[in-house]
Amino acid sequence: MAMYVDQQPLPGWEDVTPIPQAECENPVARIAYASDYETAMDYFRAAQASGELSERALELTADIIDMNSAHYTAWQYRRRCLFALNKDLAEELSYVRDVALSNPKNYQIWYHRRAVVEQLGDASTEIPFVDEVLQLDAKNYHAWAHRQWALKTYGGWEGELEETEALLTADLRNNSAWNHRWFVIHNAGVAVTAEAVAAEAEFALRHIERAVHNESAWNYLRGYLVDGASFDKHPQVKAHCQKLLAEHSGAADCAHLHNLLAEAHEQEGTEESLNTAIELLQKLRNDIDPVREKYWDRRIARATAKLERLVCA
Amino acid sequence: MEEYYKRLEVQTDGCPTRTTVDQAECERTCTVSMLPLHMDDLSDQEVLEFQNRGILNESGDIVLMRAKHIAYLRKGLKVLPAGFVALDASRPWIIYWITHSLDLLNALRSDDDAAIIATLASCQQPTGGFGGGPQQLAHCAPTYAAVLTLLLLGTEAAYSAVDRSALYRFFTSIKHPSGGFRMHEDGEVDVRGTYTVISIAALLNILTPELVQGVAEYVLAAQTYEGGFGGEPGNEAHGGYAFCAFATLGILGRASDARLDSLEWWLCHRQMRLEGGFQGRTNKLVDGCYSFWQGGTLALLEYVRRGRIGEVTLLRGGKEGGAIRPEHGESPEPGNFELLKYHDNIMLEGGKEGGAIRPEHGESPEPGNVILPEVPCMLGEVKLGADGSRRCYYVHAHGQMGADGVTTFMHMVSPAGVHSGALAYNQRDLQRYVLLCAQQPEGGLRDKPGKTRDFYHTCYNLSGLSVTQHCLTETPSVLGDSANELLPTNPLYNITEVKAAMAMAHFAKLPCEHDALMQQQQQRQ
Ligand SMILES: [Zn+2]
Repeated sequence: MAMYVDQQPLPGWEDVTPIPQAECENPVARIAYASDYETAMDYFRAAQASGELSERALELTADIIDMNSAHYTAWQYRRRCLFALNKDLAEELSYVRDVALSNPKNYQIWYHRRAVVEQLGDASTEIPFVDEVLQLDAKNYHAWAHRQWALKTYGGWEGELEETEALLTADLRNNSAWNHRWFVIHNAGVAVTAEAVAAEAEFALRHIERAVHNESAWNYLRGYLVDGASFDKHPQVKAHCQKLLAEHSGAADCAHLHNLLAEAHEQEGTEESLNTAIELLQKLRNDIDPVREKYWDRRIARATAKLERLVCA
Repeated sequence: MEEYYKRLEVQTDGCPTRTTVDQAECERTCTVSMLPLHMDDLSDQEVLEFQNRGILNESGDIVLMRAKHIAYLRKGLKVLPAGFVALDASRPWIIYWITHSLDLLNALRSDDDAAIIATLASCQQPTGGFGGGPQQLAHCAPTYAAVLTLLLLGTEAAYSAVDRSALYRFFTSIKHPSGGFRMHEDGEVDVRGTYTVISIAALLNILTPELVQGVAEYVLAAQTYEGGFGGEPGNEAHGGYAFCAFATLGILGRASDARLDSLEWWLCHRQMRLEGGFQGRTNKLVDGCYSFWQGGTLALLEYVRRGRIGEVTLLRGGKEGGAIRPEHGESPEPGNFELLKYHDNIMLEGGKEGGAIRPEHGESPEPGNVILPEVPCMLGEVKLGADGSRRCYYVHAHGQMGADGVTTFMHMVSPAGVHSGALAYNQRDLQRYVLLCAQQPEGGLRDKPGKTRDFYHTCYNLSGLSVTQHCLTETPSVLGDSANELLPTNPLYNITEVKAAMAMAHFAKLPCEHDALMQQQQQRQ
């Protein structure tokens, strides 16, 4: 294909015929590219077409990524160049660090980082790198996913629980930190014994005492008790909640507290406990959380059905 | 009325942190936008001002500013400024966000069909699948967007633009040992990949047992202790991934294998008490796009609970009436619906049938065609659902279609009004958020007040609005002006339900065997 009439060759690529974008006639949603992007892409397509894996192709991918960091084809070609040229991958990681810090919410960067670390076979840089990104945004989803991948694949669990504690000290409502705590407890290779669950429940309740309306802490606590159906194995949780309800200044309008008590009573499943659960759910529906009235209606209906089955049996 | 919002504000418990500071600021900006809700508090002067800005109609009802949204969307199909380069690997997405939004607004014109099909075809790779632009690697996400767009155009030309067997070959090439799929060759694996592959395969009738193997297990492992789903097993529960995961399970007939009560708990608690919209994760801020990702998942959950998921998967068979369970020797059977004959009430001139315009067949109104305003004209209907009880009307024409080619179609099945709806969340509050906070007065919809409109948020705000208006109800629940009603979207595939049914009917006739699909590809090469 011919070069555009007015296009200047890209320095260092004079020997190559650029390949324009194969746009159809009258395309829709056409982007009016800046000329440097268009030129870079024309030569990138030419390099791709000839399969050129070279220093200059590697540099070209960086130019494109600089203008459009979501260009997954350029990232993929970059990996091919890196690995074919046996480039210093530690250097690549520092390049990725720079791109990531200015563009932390991009899938391609994070996958690239994984692929480079895999090739390197050494993930020792990854926790410090993730920490750096979390300093900018402690809830960055990609950063947490990367951290969990690195831990699962390469280990290095020491200090992880302390890390979640430090982040929760900074903001005890950081749900990503709570989720990570769950991840560490369940994946670090240590058995999740009844004692461990009790300790985690205690941990959550301590945070709940400090900020009773913090949903993250409640969800964490709930996770251990509801789907595992194990309120009876940890009676101290219900007792603690009852004490909170009676004594804590913020308890009266705390939906999560009322809900957890309702779930504890539902799990007990006696006529009396089901009646208590229904009462709590009605309070949630009518007074505490009427915005979610339809949700509470469903819960009330389910608890009532359970009660009816019990009474009829 | 200030008091009403006061009660719903974030509680810091004497322990403010970054999360509560951000949340309080967000509530403040949303409260300012929501003021017109309380007409009694407004002076006549203020009412007049809101009416002048187009937010309220003459009777004081909140208005979806259709004309402005349509103008904004149509402009996006033309030339985009250089700043859009960040979306240069997502052009099929831009086209899908725009065309699906227009379809929901019943403003899709056939004028651009040929250009749209040609543009998408230029992104299709000879080895199967679509890239983000011409000469880009095939990638699941633009493939999803491109195929949905072609199906929502709904014409023979659009359908035949997809190379099914090459696409099937691409899908098998990115299948990952975990059961999930890579997004592209040498790309990441997460539940987005799973949903995009499985949903497109279902629509195109290439959902083979080979493709499905291990998928449900992969997805189920991503459900977290909170009840939602993360992108990969272990990751935090997140609205976008929850939709991808649960929709996949719905297609596979495996939704009941998820912990449904916890999912419902988590989803319902993502709706913000004050703002009315949804957040993506616990203790994050409201965002209009989750109107669909969270609201749509709640709709799917309700279909599952009622044993009616087959109405949206449009597949027959399977224990859940939804789809296949290859481990039980079941195979997919598209066709949980009945495509009725088009009605051709002679209300218009032109069109192949001497009256009706069938935009999905590439026909457009002839100059001079005029129909009397307020006279409804039904162009087509589809019956959905295993029990055959559900009937959805495609288009009721209303108003004028004429020389300038402008169709002012409006979908008006039933007298609109807001009711609480059949889904587990607060459908009234969600509509309030979309109309008052996410809607941008200049046209287009946005994440939240203070952010700028974009095509992505326009698409998913409108999709969420359509879900909440139509899912599992005979009578749409419409807040504000009755013309706020959108066409019903299929909450699983997210193209309008008629377009999904038409596509299913079309592709059901084509073969769906692994060996045949692989072979066709080889012949082509
Ligand atoms: Zn958003």
